[in-house]
Amino acid sequence: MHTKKRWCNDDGSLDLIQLVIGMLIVAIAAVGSYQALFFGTTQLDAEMRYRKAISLARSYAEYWQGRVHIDFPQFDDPRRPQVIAGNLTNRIEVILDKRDPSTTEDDIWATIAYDRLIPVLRESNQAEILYWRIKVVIRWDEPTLQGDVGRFSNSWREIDFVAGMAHASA
Amino acid sequence: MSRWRSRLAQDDGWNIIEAVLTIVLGAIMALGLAITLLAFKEQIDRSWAVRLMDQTANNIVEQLTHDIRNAVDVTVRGGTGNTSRIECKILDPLRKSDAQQTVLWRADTRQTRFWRGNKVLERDFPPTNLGFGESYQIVRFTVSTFGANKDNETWARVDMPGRSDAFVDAMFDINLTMRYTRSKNMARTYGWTFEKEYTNRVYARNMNLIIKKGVTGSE
Repeated sequence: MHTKKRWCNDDGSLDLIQLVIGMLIVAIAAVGSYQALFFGTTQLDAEMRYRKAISLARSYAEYWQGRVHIDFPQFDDPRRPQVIAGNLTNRIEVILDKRDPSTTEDDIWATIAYDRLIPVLRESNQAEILYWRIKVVIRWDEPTLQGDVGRFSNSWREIDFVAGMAHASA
Repeated sequence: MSRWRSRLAQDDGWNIIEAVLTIVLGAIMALGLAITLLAFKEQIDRSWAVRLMDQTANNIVEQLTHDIRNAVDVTVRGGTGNTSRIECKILDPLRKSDAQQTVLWRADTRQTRFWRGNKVLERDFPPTNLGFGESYQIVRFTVSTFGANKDNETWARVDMPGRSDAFVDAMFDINLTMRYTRSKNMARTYGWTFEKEYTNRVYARNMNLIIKKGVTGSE
């Protein structure tokens, strides 16, 4: 009872040790909240980049849809094999996210290309091309949680955007 | 009980040193907590404002893309500031090839609003409860023909000579650039600005279809 009475006897006030421990708890809670907030904003930034990547892929697909629709090389055109083959081995670099506008070191770049154009044939007449299947591939490296864009990081992301278009004369 | 333990255990109240030290530590703790909470609020406000602007801009660009993609004719004229007035001739949904209607797209840079015909898009933007020093601006709202906007697209420039006029005339680049600003004021010791560009490339396929000749009477 003597020991219990000593622990209870604080006259309703704080001593220094209790104050320091309270400060420590508040500091730990603040650090944890800050980490959660930072994680949340990085995830939201990643979602914005994902949406931007889809937009870039679709824009590139629209370009090739236009080419297929009205500007496709004919059978005797020497450019035809090159256009059909795609450019996966010669990707185009586009800026995906500028991040800090005061520097270019943290910019995130994406590579975009289109795969081989595949003709989709009519079932009743295999010699007739219904439309061309266009597949656009965009790839970029997601930054690590520390904010650095590591060239050798394994957190890359890729989107395959598939579209179709028939020639205008079809 | 030893003499030191006796002195440490002695708790007849606060002396002046303990009181001053406690007040100083308490003040530091309160100040740190206030700064942390203000920093949290600032980051959350920025994040929310950026997402709102991103959502709005993407919606505007998507709707314009849809209109241009299905248009039989697109005319671009200059507007106020760095904006364009875009006229899209689309088929009347009820009468199809028998008639067409023209939809005019424009941006109001003073009120930061977008108009499609006589209808305001995104009525809730910009929000009416903006804080002191907060603002949104339309920096750029343009539609240009393929290859005209040459920023960061060397492949489009190099590739352009091989394209036909029918392709180039029906390929449009939409560019919407918006800026969010938080000015310096009593609560903030420094300002912050976020500017983002939203682009889309769209092919107006109906401009090169046979049906287009029947509707507009021109090629």
